Amino acid sequence: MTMNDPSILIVEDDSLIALHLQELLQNAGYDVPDPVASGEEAIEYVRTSPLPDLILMDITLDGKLNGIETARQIEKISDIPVIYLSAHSDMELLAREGNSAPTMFLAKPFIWVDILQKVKKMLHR
Amino acid sequence: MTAEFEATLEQRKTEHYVLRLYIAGNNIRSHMAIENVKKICEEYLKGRYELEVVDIYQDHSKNPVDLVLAAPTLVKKLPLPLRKVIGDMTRKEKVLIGLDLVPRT
Amino acid sequence: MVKDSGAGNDLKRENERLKLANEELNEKVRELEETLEAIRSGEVDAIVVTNGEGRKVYTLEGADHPYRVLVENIREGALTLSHTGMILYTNTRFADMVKLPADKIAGTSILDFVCPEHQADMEDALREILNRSCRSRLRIRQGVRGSLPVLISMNPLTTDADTKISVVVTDRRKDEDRIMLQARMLDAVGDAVIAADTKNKIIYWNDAATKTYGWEPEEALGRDLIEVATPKISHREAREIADRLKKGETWTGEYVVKHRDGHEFPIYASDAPIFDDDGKLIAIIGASHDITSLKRTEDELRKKHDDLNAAYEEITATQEELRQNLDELTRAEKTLSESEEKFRVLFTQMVEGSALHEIVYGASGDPVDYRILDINPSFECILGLKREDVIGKTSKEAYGVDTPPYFEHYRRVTETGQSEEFEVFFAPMNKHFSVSAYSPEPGKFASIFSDITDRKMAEETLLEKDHMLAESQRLAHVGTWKMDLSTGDVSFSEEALRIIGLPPGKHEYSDFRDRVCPEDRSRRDAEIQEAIEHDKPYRSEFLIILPEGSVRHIRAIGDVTKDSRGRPVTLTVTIQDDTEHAEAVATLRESEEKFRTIVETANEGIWVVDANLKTTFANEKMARILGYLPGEMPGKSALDFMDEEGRTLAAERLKERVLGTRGSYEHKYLRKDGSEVWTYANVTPLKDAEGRFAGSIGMLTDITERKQIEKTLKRSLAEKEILLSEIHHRVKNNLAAFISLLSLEGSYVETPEGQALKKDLQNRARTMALIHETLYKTRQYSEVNMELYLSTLIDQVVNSYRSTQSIRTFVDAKGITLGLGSATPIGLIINELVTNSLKYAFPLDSIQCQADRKEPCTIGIRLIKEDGTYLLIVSDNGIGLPKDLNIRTTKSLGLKLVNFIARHQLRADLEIRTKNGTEFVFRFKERDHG
Repeated sequence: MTMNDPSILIVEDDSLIALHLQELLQNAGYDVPDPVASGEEAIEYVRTSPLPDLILMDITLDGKLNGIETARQIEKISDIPVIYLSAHSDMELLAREGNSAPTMFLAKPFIWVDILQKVKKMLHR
Repeated sequence: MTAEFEATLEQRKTEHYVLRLYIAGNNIRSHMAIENVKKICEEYLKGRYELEVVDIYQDHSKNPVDLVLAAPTLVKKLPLPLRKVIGDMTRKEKVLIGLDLVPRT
Repeated sequence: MVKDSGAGNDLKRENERLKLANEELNEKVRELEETLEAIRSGEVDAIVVTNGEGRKVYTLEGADHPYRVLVENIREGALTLSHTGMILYTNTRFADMVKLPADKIAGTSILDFVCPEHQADMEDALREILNRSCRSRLRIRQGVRGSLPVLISMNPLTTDADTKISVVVTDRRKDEDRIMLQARMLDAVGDAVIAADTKNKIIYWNDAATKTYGWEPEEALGRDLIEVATPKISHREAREIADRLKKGETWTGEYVVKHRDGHEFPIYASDAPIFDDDGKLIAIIGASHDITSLKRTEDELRKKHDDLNAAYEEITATQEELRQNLDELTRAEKTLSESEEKFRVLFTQMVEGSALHEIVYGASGDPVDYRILDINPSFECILGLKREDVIGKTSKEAYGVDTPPYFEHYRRVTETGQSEEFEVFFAPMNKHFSVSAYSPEPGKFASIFSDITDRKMAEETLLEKDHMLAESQRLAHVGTWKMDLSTGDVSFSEEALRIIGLPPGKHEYSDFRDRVCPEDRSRRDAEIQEAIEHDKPYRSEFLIILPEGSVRHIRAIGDVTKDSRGRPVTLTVTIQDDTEHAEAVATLRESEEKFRTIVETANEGIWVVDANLKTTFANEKMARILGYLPGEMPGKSALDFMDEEGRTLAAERLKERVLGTRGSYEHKYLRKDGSEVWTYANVTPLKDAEGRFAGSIGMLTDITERKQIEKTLKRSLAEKEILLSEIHHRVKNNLAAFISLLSLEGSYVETPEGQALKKDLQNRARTMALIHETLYKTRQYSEVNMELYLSTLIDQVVNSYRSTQSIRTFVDAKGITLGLGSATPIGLIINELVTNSLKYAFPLDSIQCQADRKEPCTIGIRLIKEDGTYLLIVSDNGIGLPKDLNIRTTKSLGLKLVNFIARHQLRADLEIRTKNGTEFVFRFKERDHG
């Protein structure tokens, strides 16, 4: 991997899914650091580490923050685009949070082609 | 006056007198007698005399002892001795002597 | 000699006897001589001669013989009295009448025989006998106790010598009987019966008469009828009645009589005459009875009429009086000023000291002194000087002073003719005098000294009292004002003026009234008017505005004093500035209002009960909570609103209240309609003035809704748990389905690698499913019983990789439960490690797994908690890991997974020991896994 490859931070608490996503994206040529399982770790990573170009955010996470709250916090630091990974019930949470910014999300269980396409799209913006 | 008589006089001053006056009916002489006797009694014997007035016409019970009695007559029955005074009693000394209130001279 | 004495004695005795006889004879002779003498001198009336046959009386004067016999033999008693009333002669008949021996009668007084009630009349008759014969009915004494009614007729007998009285006494019993009979018959009627003789003396008086007129018989009998039962009739009327009676007619009518005790009352009377056998009037009998009550009504009406007349007359009379007084005054004045003599008397008698002076002029013609012309006795006393010592002297001479006393006044008076009054203090006597000086003639003046020491003292005392009153009024901030209702004049006390804000001095009523707030003025006026007109006490409260603008609240109490006629004279009012008090009252009222508002509008129920749990107050909210009307609550016991259980609790709680502790608790009550209501109560005990438990006050909130919500939540929670359990179940099923799918797929996989892979996959799936199954089994939705889970897991994995060797397993995770977030990764880790151990730790050809191996092949899991840190140790006693193994870079998926999962999800530190086989030691803390 080179510095030029876009880096994608995966914020996902399920290890298998996180590992899978990492493998998939790495094989697609992206730079994917080790996924983090909680919102707090994600914010910490964004503050201290080189900024990723995209974040794949699971809605339900370890720790006190959910994915949407984490994204908000990160927004304060930088404007990294976010794709939400969500189970069906998370849709309700999204609606409740009143998220006005246009969102992209990937529903579980994933369709891997869908993931790659959406990632590409977000990075081009 | 003898001393004896004086003594008797003194005695007389306290003695109780019982007198009887005989009169004859309702006439002047009777009235005078009664009045005069009464006067003398009140003057000399006040409070210690009894006077009876007997009308010889009305009262036949009281007869004098004597055979002859004129009316008015005043009889001193007590204290003894028995004495008599006759007349209308106008002559005071006569009565007084008769009652032994004054000594006979 | 013996012979001699005997003979001598006899002689003596004989001598004595003869002497006595002689004396007697002498006496007898003397008497007889006297008798003869008496006869001769005509002093004798009669002679009584007594002989053997009887007695005979020879009268010497026979002129009155027939008269004498008559007198001796008549039915009547006959007496001859001296003019003083001494009985000179009595006949036998009289002696019989009076039941005394005849000889005891002459010489006594007639008065001795007359009954006491007639004595005075008899004395009068005796005195008047020369002017008037007397004929009267009276009673004479009979013996010791008796009396006899008689008619006495007395006539004077005048001779040349003196006057004697002839008395005839007639027995009247028969007449009396007649009267008595008549009277007795009238008695039966029940009226008062009074009989009086022709002299108006009462001779009969019955019990009814006593009752009616008040006199006892003994008091009435013998008294004049006029005195006893005095009728109020005119003389003309009395004469008319008397005439009628004399004629023989009866008289009936009404008149007013006087009772013994003085009160008058009306009677209805019927009078009738009684005549004797000769037709002569001897008595009047009257029957009468009291007709007061009948008269009363008549009288009342008459009285009313009379009252009106009387009032009119009084007014006229008063006017007349006034006019008369005025006339009198004028006359008196005239008389005084006209008579010098009267002045003289006044001068001497008056109590005040008075003196007459003339002015003395000096050489220049100016007044320099005054001469004392006359002083009265009182003046002497004041000066302490005698009249003769000062008369004619000038004041300087008389009093020994340099300046004539009070000269200025006197000079002025004399010159102007105007009188003056001034007060002086006369030091020598230590007295105050009021001096009145006037000029009766030019050049002269008179002065009158009145001792006003007492008055001055009284004035001072009064002044003191006034000061004290003003002082106390000031201290109490109480003032008084008075109004003279006839003149409208008012007077104010100092403090009153202060209160009203007026300056000291005289004021009009309007000055005060203007200060009263306009809104209160008319009401206050009305109140005052009411008090004056209707004789009621005056009470008022009103506001006044003080000059500087502040408003004060005034409380006034007063009353009206009246004169003797009942007319209002003075209004006296006491006022007090009540502002602070009124404000305090207003503030208190406000506070009370606020409190009431709070209590009433509070969202919470407020319930006050007494020491016996009886309701004393419940606000509207409280009543509504219990479904009652606020009025229905007081009086009911709190227990009335509870069920059995509630009552028991209440009794328990009451004990705490009595001890003085507060309490907060939930309590169920029964509403009026029987439904239940849950409340949350904050109850505070109350104490009375002596510190004893006096009840409680509670603030209650209706928590029925909340309780419903609680119930709903609980239900919902329960539902959710069931739901979650279901979910776990379903998830497990889904995974199971997936495993089955793999199995199905697996049957078509040819390669051994493919088979192995399939198994691996199946195992991993099963591992995941196991968690959910464990959760479902243990009815937990988040806490996983690790002992159970790991035991089942290890067996599951070992069983799926059935090998020829016997592998021992142990699990030590007692009492440890972990959340899903940790249990899941642990499960996955253990699956990989145990699979690895099974696959690689005990190769068949390895020495360590021979049958004679000392230690059996063991795979073990230990999970320990140490001070909040967990240790997971997965170990086997196999051949150990390859020396060149790098957990990070290894191609083995299982190990890669183990590493990643441990770091990523468990956030555990991993230590791999390879001493006695292989030991993976994971150190981690349980974290909040969302």
